[in-house]
Amino acid sequence: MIKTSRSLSIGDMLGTGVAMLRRYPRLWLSLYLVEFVVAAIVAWVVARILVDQFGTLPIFDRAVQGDLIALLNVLGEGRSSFAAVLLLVMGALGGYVVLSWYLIGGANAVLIQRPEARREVVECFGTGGAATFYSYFRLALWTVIPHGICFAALSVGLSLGADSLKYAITGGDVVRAVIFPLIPVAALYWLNATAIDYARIELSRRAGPAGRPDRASEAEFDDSTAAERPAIRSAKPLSAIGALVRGYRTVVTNPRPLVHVLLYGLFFASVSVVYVALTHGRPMSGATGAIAIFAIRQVVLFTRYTGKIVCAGGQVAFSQGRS
Amino acid sequence: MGSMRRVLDCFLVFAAGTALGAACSSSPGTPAVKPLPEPDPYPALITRGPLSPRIANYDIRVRFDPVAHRIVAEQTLRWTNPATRPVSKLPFHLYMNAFKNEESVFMRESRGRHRDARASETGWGWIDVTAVQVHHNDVTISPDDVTISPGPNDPGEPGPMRAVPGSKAELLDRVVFPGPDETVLEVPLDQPVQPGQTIEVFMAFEVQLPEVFARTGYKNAFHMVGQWFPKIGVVVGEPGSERWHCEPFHLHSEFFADFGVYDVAIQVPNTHTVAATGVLTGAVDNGDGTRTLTYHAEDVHDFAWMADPHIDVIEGEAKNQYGTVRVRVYHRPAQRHFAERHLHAGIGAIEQFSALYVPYPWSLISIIDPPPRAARGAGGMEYPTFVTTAGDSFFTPPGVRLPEYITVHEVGHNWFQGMLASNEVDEAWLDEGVNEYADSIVMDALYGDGSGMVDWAGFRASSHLMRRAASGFLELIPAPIETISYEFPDYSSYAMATYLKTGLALRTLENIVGVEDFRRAMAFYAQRFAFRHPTGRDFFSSLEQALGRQLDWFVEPAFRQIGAVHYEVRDINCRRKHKKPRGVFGRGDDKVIVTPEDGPETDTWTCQVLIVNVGRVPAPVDVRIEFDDGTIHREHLSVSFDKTWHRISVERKSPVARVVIDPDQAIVLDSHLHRRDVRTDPALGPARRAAARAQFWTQTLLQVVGL
Ligand SMILES: [Zn+2]
Repeated sequence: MIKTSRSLSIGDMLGTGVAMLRRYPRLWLSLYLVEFVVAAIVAWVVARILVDQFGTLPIFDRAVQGDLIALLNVLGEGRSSFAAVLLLVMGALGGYVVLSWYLIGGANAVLIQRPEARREVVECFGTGGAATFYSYFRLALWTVIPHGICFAALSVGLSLGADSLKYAITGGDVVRAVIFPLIPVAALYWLNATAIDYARIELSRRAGPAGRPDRASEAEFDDSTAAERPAIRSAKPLSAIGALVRGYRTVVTNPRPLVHVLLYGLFFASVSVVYVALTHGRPMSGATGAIAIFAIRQVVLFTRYTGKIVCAGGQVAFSQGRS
Repeated sequence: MGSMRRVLDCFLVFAAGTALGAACSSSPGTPAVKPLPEPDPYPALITRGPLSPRIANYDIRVRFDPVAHRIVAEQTLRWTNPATRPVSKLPFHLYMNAFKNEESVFMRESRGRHRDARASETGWGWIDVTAVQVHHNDVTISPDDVTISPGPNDPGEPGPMRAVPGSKAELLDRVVFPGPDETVLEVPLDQPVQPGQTIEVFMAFEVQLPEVFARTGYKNAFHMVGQWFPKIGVVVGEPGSERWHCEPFHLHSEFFADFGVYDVAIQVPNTHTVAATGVLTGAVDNGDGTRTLTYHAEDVHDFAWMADPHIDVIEGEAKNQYGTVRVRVYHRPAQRHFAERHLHAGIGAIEQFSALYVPYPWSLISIIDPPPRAARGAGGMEYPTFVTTAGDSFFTPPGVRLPEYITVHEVGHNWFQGMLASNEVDEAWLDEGVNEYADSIVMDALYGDGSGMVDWAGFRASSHLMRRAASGFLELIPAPIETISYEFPDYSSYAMATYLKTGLALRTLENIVGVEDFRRAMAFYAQRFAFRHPTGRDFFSSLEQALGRQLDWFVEPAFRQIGAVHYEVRDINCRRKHKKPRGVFGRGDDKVIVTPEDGPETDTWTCQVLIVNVGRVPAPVDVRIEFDDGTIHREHLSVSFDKTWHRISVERKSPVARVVIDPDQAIVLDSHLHRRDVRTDPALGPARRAAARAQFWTQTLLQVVGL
């Protein structure tokens, strides 16, 4: 059942998100695999670098096992290797951001159009991702402004807090020095990230496949069914800045999108805390340990990832339902 | 619009929260009147004195204004000429003038920075000597009718400072500032002080304390008063060629002074708690909102004090061969849990240093834990029976023992500089570095072998290894350890050579000659030179005498040249031994070719391991060679001066699996550990584990930045 924005509660958003997660398991698994493969390639190169540099040096074994002196020595002696690893990770992140314009575009198209057959899903994902890639790119350029503001706020917050942090004695001092100045930054980031999510959805809705009357585009021209069907205004082109403005309008005119994203943030943080609680102080050595830690990490990563898909599903539903 | 307003409201609440958070830093509140302290019921020494030649003895009477951060004082110095020659001038340190302006030597060298602290633009400090009078064996030199104002031993007479009769200006006009700034003042004498003769010098002076950034001064209500009174220089040199040592106050130098007895009366507001060198012998309420506290110290070479209206104190006892030493930690209430850690470290340090070297002879030690904003400037400084510590931070939880380490180091200075009063200006290493060597022993004794500095979250480390790992490479220090402190090119070189390298060099020497023997030799040095002014030469000759062996082979390169030890496994080469050597043998028609068939491989491996020391400091070292079959070959490489490498040849039934240089980690004067332990086959496991961790974090970041 499709509801309008008047009745689309957080619960409905979550429900739709979960439904979307269950409806396209192969798609989400494939996308998770992409993420996994990118990280695995990074890990493989990292392993090569480390074996080349430290394979014959037992001090590295001790460093990995948590010997502080060995760790500091390895970090000092292997500075260039660790710089290379850092650059590699940064490069992978940058590349994945670009790839994500395509992946998110495809995912949004599927969530908007809700194709049925497996082939349609693939086609919808592919064409959707390609159709919005450049508009997502333009949007990314515009988001330099809000991200820049956020970064400036972060710099100010950190510089305000840095002095107090130097003299922090208690946990309360640290909270005052760091957490308080960063609350507005986090709030700003939360606002920006949510608005950008909705801006992307707007762009995807406008870029629905031309000449193909999906259920959503029918709704655009049929006021009488607007209350029951998701709307998409694929006929009118929308600029990236226009989408961004709409995104911000969405998040400032209704608290639900922000709360919804906050729930995802809390979910992400909770899963991470559970991971730390499960693994902290447990060395998990040997082959069994390695398999166990790998499995735990993948469960954690996949669980967080499903949270993201549920969130995206809810956001698309909200965006469609509200008009 | 309504919901827009709600979002804006949210932001306003956040912003207000931030501002509130910034403003909420704990304010200590209005100071209350403190109960008049009881005098300490014990003498200055817990053993029989005098322990030192009491050459420079001071009676000082002080009036302290904490609002203006100002001190008005009079002092009488009784000084005995220890030289074999008459002395015709008396130089005095006026350390406080280092903070007078940007042209002082200290400020030119420091550019307003000391360690991590910065000078403020408004908090200049200075000292003005307003009267100088000299009494010479009951004969007043000039003017004739000068009377010495009474010493402060009588706490019943606090009152205002008395004007000293006589034409003080006349003497004042004759003093000169012989150095490049106003940190040294020279009083010319009409009549020389003969050898063994005692002279009395009266001075009146005013001190403006600086906002603290280099040991002394104020930070808000906290006042740390060090280097504050005119302090006479030291006569040094061999008999017959003595000279004054009274250098201008440099950035990279500390202090040097003669021992004596100090009697100091301090008039302070009754809201302030005071801690000082020595013991409290009198406390009198003046009835005007002030009180006068009188302190007495024996066989010390400096006097420092602290005044603060918000400070608490906790106390414990340390035991040593002489008896009981009271250990007090002065701290702000918010730092109570750190104070307990400092107290434990302070008690432990007194007991350990006493057992290792000579017993702590004073009845009291005060450890000041400055408030965090004062700690960078005022913290981590030593005075006799009175030290300031530091390191209190959220980031130094129990187990991260930086606060304890600083306390142990500063308390340790009561031996290495307090009793063994070496010249910190010319030979800073002789107190700082020797102390640092001892600190690591004491920290491990107090907190567990190998975890003296860190025992937190599964990480463990001794202080000397932790400090080495967290510092730069030793061979990059551009000056030898034995460099005059103010001639180091920068603070990093000074600190690394004086503290770290010295400590590691001594620890290395200890491991080479044997721990027990070396510690006995150190105790011999300490007992021989306690309450004297030992030099580096005295130090090494004492060690050589006690050890019964020459140390020049190590001391010369390690202490007098740049560089360190740098051992590496350069090459491991194994191959099967052939029954006969293969190849072409003989000449002309007698040539014989030995083929692989003629000289087949045996089941023996012949291995060569190349060990190099590319550092400049030689050190004997053990090498452990492990073979694939689990057997071990151990070899001791002695020092050779003509070559910096050793090739070890060994035959076994299996090839070398791993070579470990210095398996007992005895040669710690070496920053480079990674190629001291090398195996022949690379291990993939650790790299894979690290890579798996990298994968998890990379994937986490991918989830943050992308889909
Ligand atoms: Zn020191």
